[in-house]
Amino acid sequence: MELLHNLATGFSVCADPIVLLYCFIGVVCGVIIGALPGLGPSTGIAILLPLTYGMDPVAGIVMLAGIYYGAMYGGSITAILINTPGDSAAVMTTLDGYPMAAKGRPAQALGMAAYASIIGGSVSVVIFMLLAPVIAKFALAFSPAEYFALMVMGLTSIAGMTGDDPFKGFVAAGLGLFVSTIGMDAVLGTQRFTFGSVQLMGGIDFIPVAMGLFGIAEIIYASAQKDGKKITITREELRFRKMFPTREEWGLCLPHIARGTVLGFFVGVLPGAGATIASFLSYDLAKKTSKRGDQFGTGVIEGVAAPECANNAASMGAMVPMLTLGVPGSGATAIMMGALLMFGMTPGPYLFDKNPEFAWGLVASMYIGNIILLLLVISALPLFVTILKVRPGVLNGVVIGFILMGSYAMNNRLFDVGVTLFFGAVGFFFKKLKVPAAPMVLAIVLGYITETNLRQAMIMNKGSFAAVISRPISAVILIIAVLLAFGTPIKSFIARLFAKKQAE
Amino acid sequence: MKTRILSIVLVLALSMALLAGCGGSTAPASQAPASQAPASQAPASQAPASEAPAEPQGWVPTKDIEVIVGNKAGGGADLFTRKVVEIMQQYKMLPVNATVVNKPGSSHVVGYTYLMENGDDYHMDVVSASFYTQPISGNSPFKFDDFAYVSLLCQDPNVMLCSNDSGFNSFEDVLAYAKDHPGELSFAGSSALSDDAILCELINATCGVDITYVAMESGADIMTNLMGGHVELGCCGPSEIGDNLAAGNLKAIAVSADSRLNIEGLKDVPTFTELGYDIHHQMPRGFVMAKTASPEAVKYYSDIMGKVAETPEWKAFLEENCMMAKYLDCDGYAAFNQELVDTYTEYIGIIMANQA
Repeated sequence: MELLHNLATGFSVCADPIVLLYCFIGVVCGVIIGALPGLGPSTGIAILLPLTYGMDPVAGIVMLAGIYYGAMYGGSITAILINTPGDSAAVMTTLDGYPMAAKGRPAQALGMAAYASIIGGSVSVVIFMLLAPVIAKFALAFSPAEYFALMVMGLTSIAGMTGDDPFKGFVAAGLGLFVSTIGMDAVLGTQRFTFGSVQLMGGIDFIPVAMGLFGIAEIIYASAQKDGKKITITREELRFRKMFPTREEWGLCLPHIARGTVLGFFVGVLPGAGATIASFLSYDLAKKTSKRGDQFGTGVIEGVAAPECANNAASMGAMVPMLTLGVPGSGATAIMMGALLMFGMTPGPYLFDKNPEFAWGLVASMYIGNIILLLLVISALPLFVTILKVRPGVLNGVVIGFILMGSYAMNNRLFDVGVTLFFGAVGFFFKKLKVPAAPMVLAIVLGYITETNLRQAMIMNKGSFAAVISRPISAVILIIAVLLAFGTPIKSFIARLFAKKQAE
Repeated sequence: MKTRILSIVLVLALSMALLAGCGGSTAPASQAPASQAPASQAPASQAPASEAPAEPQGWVPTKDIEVIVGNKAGGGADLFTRKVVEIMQQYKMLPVNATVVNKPGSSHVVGYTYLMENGDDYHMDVVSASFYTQPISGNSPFKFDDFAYVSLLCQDPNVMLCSNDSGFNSFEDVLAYAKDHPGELSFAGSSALSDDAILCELINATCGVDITYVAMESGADIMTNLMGGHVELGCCGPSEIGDNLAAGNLKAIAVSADSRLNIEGLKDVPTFTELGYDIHHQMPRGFVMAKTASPEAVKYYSDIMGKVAETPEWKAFLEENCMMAKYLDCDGYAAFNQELVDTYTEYIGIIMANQA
């Protein structure tokens, strides 16, 4: 009952038109910023943070939260329409979203991405509301050993992205692991593969790489095609009814959305693991548990729903440690925490006690924000799809401009722009050689975290690898990883055993 | 009609992206004082600004100044620098503009490289632990002689924490256990070559124990591992603890500072010196310029920093962020610097030798 009372307080705080206005602004800006390739939620929040100086705290944080989950959806728009993910969390959406658009169903893909995002976000808010303190304890139980196990499970999902030739996928993953080692090592501070360059010492960030591999490579490759295959949209297709998924599609997707939301939320709760990893894991889980698993990558709608709900759920999950423990879970939440401190709130165990109107106002605004996102998507979806009507030459130029600008805006240095261009060339060769690029991005994201956490765990366990993998939570996760990796061959092996037995 | 709407939308998006490109470093610094001055204390801000800025005699800047921060916007060094610049502008201490430029990369080394490339009288860079650790570890091509020391403004104390699961209640408990069980206790700190690592080595050397150092990525990781009981000991700045101490999620057992901290929840925590151990390592924060800057310019900025250190806004900032005030002008800092260089060289050397 107290929960409903608190929620009522929250909604009454949100009833203020100024707060609603800023929520709306936040969501709209978030979607636009997320859609612009190269600019992700952290950049968006960092850019619009100065607007919140001197603002009422609730309105300010509501706007920033709106940007966060708006950007998670926005990234999928360009991912689906032009195969260029707007941010790293949308990389998995390109795998099935773009083939769907190429087949002439962009509106359905965009619609499902939106609905999956909104369901993922709303359900996560409910989980957050009911279980926040308990979840915080769960986050604390993860030491580096458990993170290592989780990352190993993430790495096994590479097998699901290799497409036709697994060897090429593993080559890409291997290259990605190599790139992740470049820079200053986290545990001992030694320099690896920096060749004395000051810029390389900081390592290679995965966002410019993802933008290059997926965005620039795609544009160069598409331009190099002799027959300009344009996706034509008729007016008929943009009618509202077409954008709402059919009953059959809902039936296919809902189980994945349910699983993806829970998985995404809990992965997002862990500080350090964010929306990108959540979307990878959710896509892989959907692929392994779906009846149409082998069709993933050719344009099945579950392949769009699963990563999208996971990345929105993860963005909600990332707010749990920030609000309940004062520990920021990702880059974007770190900036939001700075904003909270600026407003005079101390995020941590006492936030909900000391500032209940603020905290519950924020929670209530997340519901409202998701509704605003839904309305926005319904009204603006035809507009998004008409992007495809722009002449490819113009569109490509604008997109390249945004990508390079986004790469620079991350760290204010031209080195990142160079990285994007370099990996754009690499991605083009990948496409020519039919090497999948997604494993490389996944390996870059996960490689660094896996290695660092393994070494930290071994230091903490006095050099004993057995101690690392025999801890309860990490053992469970590793067993799940083994089952996921070897599940299919084991299943078919057992099936053949049974068939033999029955034949006898 | 549709193409019209589309082009308007694209133009709006492009202008927002342009905002992204140039709004990163300079916008917050210049907008924040402008928006905060009328919003906060409207009448009071005019009165103290009667300090006469740079006197006509002596060196005076004639171009805009760039203050470089080798980290992303929002980090500790960045907030520190922006506050200094904000106060300088609020009190009109400079006849020109000062802008903050972020040059993140490789733990401040990119920032110092940029400083060296523009080593004139109008470029300054902020100093933090990386200024000392990077050249010693060989990660930076610069030597301490390449810089001119402007001033030291404050020091960040370190708080030594222990987890609830460890069962320790004081530093003496820790030492007693550590002497009997060498190599068993883990001490979490941020990054391998940092003040936290040096503190751990200082404890090992001064108290004759063997505590293993575990390098984490950030204060957030240290806090989660401590609260989760995965490491027994840890160290971080007072501002990173938040409310967790009051909530009883962990314990503070000692403080590395010159005197006890005047912060809620940490007033009863003894310093290492009180406990009888000569440990008071803190992270220095100040400003340097390139050696090629003129001594008059260095002296000028040093005096300005002195004025900043006297303002009530600065004192409030230090208190909010749990930093200990310590102002040294250019000569004082140059002398103190030698002490710092010696400490850092010795202990980073030990840490690197341990790794080999």
